[in-house]
Amino acid sequence: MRMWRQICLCSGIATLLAVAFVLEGCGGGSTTATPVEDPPDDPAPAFVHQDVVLRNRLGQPIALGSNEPYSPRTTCAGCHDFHTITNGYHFQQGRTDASGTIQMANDFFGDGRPWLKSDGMYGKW
Amino acid sequence: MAAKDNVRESDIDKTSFWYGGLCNICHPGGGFGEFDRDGELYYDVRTSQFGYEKLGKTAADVRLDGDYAEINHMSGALRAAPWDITGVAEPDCLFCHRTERAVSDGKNMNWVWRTATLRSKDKLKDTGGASVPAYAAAATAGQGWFSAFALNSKVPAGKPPMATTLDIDYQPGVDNGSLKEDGAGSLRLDGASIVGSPKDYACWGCHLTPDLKKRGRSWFDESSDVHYAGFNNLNDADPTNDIAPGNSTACTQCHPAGLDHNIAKGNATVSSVRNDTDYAGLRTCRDCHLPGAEKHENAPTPTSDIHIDGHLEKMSCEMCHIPYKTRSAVFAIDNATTGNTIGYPAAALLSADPLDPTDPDKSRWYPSFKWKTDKDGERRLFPIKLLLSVWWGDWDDNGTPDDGHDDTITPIALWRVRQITGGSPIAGTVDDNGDGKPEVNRPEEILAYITAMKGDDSYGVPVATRPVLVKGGRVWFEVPGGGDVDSFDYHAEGVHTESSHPFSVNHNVLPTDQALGATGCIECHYGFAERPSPVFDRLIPISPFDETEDARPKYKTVRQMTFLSPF
Repeated sequence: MRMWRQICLCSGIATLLAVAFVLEGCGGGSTTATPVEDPPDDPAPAFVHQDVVLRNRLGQPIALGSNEPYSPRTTCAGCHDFHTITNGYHFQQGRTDASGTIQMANDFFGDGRPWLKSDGMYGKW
Repeated sequence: MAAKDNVRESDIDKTSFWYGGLCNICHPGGGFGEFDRDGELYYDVRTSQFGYEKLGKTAADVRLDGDYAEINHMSGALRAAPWDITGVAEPDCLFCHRTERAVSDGKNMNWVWRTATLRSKDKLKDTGGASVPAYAAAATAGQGWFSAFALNSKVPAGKPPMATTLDIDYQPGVDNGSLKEDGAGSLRLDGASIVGSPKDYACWGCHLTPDLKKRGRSWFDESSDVHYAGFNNLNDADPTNDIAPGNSTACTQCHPAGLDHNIAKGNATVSSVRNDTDYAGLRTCRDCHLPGAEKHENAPTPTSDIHIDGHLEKMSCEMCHIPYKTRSAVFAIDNATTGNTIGYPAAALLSADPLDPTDPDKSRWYPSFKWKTDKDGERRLFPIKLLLSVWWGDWDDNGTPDDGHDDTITPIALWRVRQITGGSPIAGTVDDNGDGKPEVNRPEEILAYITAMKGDDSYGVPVATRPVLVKGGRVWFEVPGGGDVDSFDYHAEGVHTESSHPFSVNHNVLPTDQALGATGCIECHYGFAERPSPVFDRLIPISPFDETEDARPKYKTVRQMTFLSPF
């Protein structure tokens, strides 16, 4: 059976991308991803992302010839939920808890080790 | 790590700015690379304000703030953290989600470029001599979007690279197709350059070094990793279906992630970050190999009769199927003798003969074991590699010398240890075992260090009031009245400190015919043969050097460490 989809996903991460693609104005580009037709014998869905305008720290588009660094936040956060994404433990390393609340404190574990300030690498001795 | 609030320079260790330039090399930006402990951007380029200024504070107010100060870890000099020059390290999406990876001479160049840029801190310049905001530019450099990039040649081998020069230039991105100009003159990131599920190369860039040092892990080696081989079709007879290392996604087969980017993990035996996510989404050995809803269609079900209930109940799969490691790891770090970290590799303490560490064959080493909670809630034995540490602390018995439970042994920041040692062994310290690494081990040496550690740092503050050496499960202290040292077993005395750190060994699963027990029960249960078991009587290092003039390593058997004594 032939199926149409707007986006096919390789992982859970990509779900966010898929949702984002249908948001108007996303990335400053086209608002929807190009529909991709499933080849009948292709069991693995393909991942597709639209082109994204590269932006600087002020959110301005970057032109060729610029020597400003691009900003992942202004480039990507227009579509993606950076608050949720960056509360992942790879980003925070103990700075925040599951709810995103800053949890740093001397003697984090309350067991007489004031040099431990979180349960992650950011805050350890 | 430095506290947010400090009352004197001597209290400050590594600050957030230091983390930004070093720890961020293996973290993807955002979080502590971007925001202070009050939740403010360290520096907002839109308003030209530091985070503390938004809270009404001045530079003087934050002179000793762990987010806005930096201690020079060689000289001890204090300065204001120049976030205004470096910018902040934003979440670096493409660090993991870039489709194409630059690999050269076995190095992940995306990691090298990004790392070197971060490490340059406020010293990074372009070829015209203008300052480049290193933390903000790291994501750009990591994509290879530059026309000039120079490394500091004075960085010692084995240390992370550091850049001196960066000319950001997007032309290389246009040339390789990752960027393209649109009609309005703006650059667009090509959608095909963004990948959803990161490839192994993304994980490898950061996990290579720590996993090698802590666990002796091999990557992209089908001979030492059945999962890498299996997921990439490398163990069949058809070479045309092989997946190249650059396209391998073996990592995310077991470690998938959701929208929250909490990549599925197990139950680490060291560290405890986000324990609430332990095993969430992780595909464990049992998930994939045992019958059940999560059984992987290609994962073989155990058939050997060695998988008796008693074994499955008490032993992890890894215990037998990761029987040894062939790559070296760091087994001990001595932070005490010089104040710099001196590492001891596997070959210094172990050998391919689990019963004889002095055997000249150093081609493999064998792990120890530790009980931990598995995904199903059962406690099982897992293989681990102990990392031993030797370090100086300041001991406070809190006025109860007969009760160790409330004692505190505060680690002394290494920059302050180096102010005493000058970064070298203090006079009279001998390399007793002749391994080329002097060690503070004999009682008279320990006493000399204790005396020295009572001296002042460059701020006139005593480095320690009651210095103690923590090593090999014991605390070495100066006896009351002085003139001699003694030691005690800190576990036995109830003192909360540590000198061994159990890192789980959970990758590089070997083929079944190399697993423990593949040739019979006698592989472990040597009682049948009336000789020591290479599993339960194997020697595990507990101290890199003892207190004698030979400075020999100390060992315990698995039997002694786990209290397991099967025949």
